[in-house]
Amino acid sequence: MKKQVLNNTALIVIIIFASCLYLYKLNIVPNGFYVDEATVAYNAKAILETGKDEYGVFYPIYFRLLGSYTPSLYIYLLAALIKVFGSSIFVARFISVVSASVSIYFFYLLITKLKLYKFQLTYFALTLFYAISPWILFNARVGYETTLGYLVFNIGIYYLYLASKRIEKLPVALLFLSLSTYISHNQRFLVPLFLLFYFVVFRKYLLKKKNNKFLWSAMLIGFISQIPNLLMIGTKAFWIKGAQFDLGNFLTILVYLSPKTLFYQNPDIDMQHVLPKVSMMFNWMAVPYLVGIYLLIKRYKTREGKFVLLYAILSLVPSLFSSQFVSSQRSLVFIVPLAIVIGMGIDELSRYLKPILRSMIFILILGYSITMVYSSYYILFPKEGAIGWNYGYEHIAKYIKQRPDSKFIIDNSRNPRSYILLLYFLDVPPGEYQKTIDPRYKDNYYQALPPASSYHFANVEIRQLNWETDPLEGLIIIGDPLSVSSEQAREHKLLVLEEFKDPLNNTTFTAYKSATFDE
Amino acid sequence: MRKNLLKITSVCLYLLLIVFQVSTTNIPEAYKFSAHEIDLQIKRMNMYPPHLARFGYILEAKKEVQIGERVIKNFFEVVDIRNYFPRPLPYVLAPLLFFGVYLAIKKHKKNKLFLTGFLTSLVLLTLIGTHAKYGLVLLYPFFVFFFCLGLSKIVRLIKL
Repeated sequence: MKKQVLNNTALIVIIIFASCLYLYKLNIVPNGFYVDEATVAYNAKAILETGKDEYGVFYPIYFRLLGSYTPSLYIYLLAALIKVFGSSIFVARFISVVSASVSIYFFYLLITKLKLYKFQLTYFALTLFYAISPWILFNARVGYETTLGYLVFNIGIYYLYLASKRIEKLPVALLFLSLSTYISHNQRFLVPLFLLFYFVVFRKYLLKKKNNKFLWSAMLIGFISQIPNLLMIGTKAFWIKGAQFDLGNFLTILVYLSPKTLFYQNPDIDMQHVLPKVSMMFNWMAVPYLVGIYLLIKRYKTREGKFVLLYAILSLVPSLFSSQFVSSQRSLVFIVPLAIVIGMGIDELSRYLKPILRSMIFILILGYSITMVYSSYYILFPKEGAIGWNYGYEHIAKYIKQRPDSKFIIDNSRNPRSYILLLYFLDVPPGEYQKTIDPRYKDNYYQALPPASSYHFANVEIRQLNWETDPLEGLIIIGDPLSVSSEQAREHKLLVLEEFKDPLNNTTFTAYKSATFDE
Repeated sequence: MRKNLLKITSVCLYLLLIVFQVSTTNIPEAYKFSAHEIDLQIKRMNMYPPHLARFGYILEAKKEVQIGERVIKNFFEVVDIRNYFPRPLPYVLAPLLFFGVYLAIKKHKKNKLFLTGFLTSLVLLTLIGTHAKYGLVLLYPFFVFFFCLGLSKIVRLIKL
């Protein structure tokens, strides 16, 4: 009893500590507001105010957003949150904070049920390192659906593991897994694949006659809850990510397993996902990882060994949608089996240490890990990662708001999706914006039409510059350093009005007034 | 007697390979900081708020820490799968290699000599770096050994 209280207290302390870490400076780190966050937040606001998304479609099953056709649950949840707390960057990212915090609890539950470790300390140490790992910290603070999808999927996986020895848990598992497919694309592909292999691996137990009742009820729950998805199966929107799937890249999965990728340098091509000086997990974890892989393979015939192996291999499948590139976001689910394997290594290595030495090493490693994550995420990342996080659009919006009578052209050549950031920061009423949308998008909503190249709302036009006409009009042109060269500015008599700087003091945007502009 | 001779010959060949690896590796390159890296160190050091300036100096510019980071970098270069797959080794050989490593560790008492040699190579390459004229040749004999081990086990399994 006393031990149970102590264990619960330790777990609560870990969750509270991690939640504080996730909430600290949430509105300013990441520094900026990524287009994916802005599009989710703006559409949530549009749903709340008009019952339609930005394209004017009534409560969609998949949101077109920037062409991704994202499953809708996160956006509806965010709309409810905005209703209560209002719209802000903090609120947009808050669901991920809660999701990551709850995921710690389910991670702990899963590893205690798997019973792979000898030392009690391993369970808590691993839970703590999982909670403060760069990969979880990063995803705990993003304003889009991946972390919530990850949480709900992991709850389903937890019950699925329980169901491999207690079939009555199977309907609950199916319910959560099915729900996760309405949150994130990753889960839409992972869930059917995982269930298929799960049934193949554990068929002897699942297909016992006495289990029929629960098996059928689980299948019924799965089928009924998938009706909305099944209704969409004939649309291009349903298959939008499938087009990027390439089985020929299957062996590139090895890149994700490389210690360098996991523990030293994240090779993700998207600068938004890269943290300075750390990769997805802490570098010291490479050694227990290598030991853990060996131990896992050694135990592959046991039930828990089979389950973790299945989990590890299948969780990397969504990464095949990134072609030959590495996407740390698509492989997010991999963090759970990875942490379990690292735990096996930690546990094994602990065997060779005396208790006092074990505690000392734990404290040293914890101090090192916290130092690394603090320095990388809270000190270097807000400055170095600002551009990757679309820093600067908030300042442009403020500048535009101060000049309601001026006409603006924003060059979007390098960032064609930037319109959504200005929609969000300029606080353009969704009802007003919906009127400006080409009706083709609403009429063929799920047919994945190519995106528009120009946008017009309030006193702003967002498009590529037209050098024949734009400099002749009385307007303000805003662009990045490649939009207007000094020769072009001189030739077209454009005068610099304002320079917008990033946290490293580099110019990110420049505002020019045309020769005929009258202040 | 014959077994001992084989062992002694293997160790001698391995020592020769070490000499070859060390002599064809540009060791100073592994610990040299380019102008860009020094500039980045200074920039990063200045990103720390004033009350954490000392902390910033230790983490970003202190020589001992930087050398330690280089050793860590070397280690991850050595164990990086991308250094070996898909070039110079094709991806299809990867499962054989890993299976061989697994088998070697599983029967570690029997393969003690090879495993000790393999670990020594990893440590040595971590220290001298990966700027080698002919690549990480010190590891190749062990790769061949692991391939053979994996392949022979698979062949035996198929025969059964």
